[in-house]
Amino acid sequence: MNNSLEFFDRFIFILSDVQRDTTVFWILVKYCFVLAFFLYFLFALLVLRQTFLMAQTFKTTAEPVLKIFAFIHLLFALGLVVLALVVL
Amino acid sequence: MPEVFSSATSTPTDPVVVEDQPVEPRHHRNVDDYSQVMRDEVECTNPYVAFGPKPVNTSFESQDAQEHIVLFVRKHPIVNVGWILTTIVLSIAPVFLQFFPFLDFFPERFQLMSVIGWYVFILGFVLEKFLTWFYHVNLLTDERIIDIDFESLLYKRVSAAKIDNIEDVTSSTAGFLGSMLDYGNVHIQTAGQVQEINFETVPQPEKITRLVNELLLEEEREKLEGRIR
Repeated sequence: MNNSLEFFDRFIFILSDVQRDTTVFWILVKYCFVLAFFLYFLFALLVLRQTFLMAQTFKTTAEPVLKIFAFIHLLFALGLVVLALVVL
Repeated sequence: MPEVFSSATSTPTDPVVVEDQPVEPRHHRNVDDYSQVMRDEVECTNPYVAFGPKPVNTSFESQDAQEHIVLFVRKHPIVNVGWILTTIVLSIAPVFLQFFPFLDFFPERFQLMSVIGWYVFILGFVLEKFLTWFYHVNLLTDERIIDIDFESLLYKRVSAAKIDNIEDVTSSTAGFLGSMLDYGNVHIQTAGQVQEINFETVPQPEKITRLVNELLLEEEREKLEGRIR
C-alpha cells in the first residue's frame, strides 16, 4: 500500500515538474518514445480489428469478453501515446 | 326452447383444409444416434475449453443452415504454459531495476514511462498469445472438417474438406507429456483440393479419429439411404 502511494506521489510530482531538461537531445528521445508508443497503438488497432474479424469467423459466447479486452488494450495504448506527449 | 339454446350460428365450422406441403426430408440424424463417441459426451457450454463436443451457441462463418457442429478442438492448454511463464517473468522484470539500475541514465519521467509502457506491452503480448490460441481451432461438423489457422495477427487461413472426401485418418501421440496428458496430432488426408488437414497438439486424438470414422460411416449410410442433400 505504501509503495503504491509512493509511486502515485512520484507520478504526480513528475507530472507537475516544470523544470524539465529541455535540451534537443531529450526532446528527440521524447519523440522516439512517442513514435514507439504510436506504433504500438497501431498494433493495438490491428488486434482489435482481428478480434472483430475472428469473432465473425468463429462465433462463440466468449466473443463480447474478447472484444472488451481488445478495446481496453486499445485504450491503454492510446493513453500511452497521450501520456508520453504530456509527461515527457 | 329459448332462442339462446338454439343458436343459428352454431353450424359446424368447416374443417381447416391443410394443403399438402412438401415435407423437407431429414438429411441428417442426430449425432448421438450414430456416434458412440458423442453419445458419451455432454454438451459443451464453455467456449474456452480445448475439446468441445456438441457445443452450444457456437457457429462459424460458412455454416449451412442444416449443418451442425459436432466437435471443436483447439491446442491442448499445456501449450500456453510457455507464454504464461514468460509473462510472469516479464511482469516481475521491472522489480530488478532496483538492483540493476541500467535505466538510471534516463531522467525520472522517462523511466516512469518506460515502466508503464512495459506493462502495456505485456498486456498486448498476453492478448495476442491468447487470441492466437483461442482462434486456432478445428471444427468437425456432420458435413465437413474445417481448419481455422490463426497463426498470428497477420496470418489467417480457413480450409475445409467434405467428410466424404476423407481418405485416411491417422492420429499420433508422442513424448512424455503427450502420453501423460493425452494430446497429439490428427492427420486427415482428403481427395479434395485441400490435400491434408492437420489437427495439431489436440486433446484426445484417438477419440477424434474414432469420431471422424463414425462420421465417415454415417456419410456412407446417407448415400445408401438417399439422404444426401
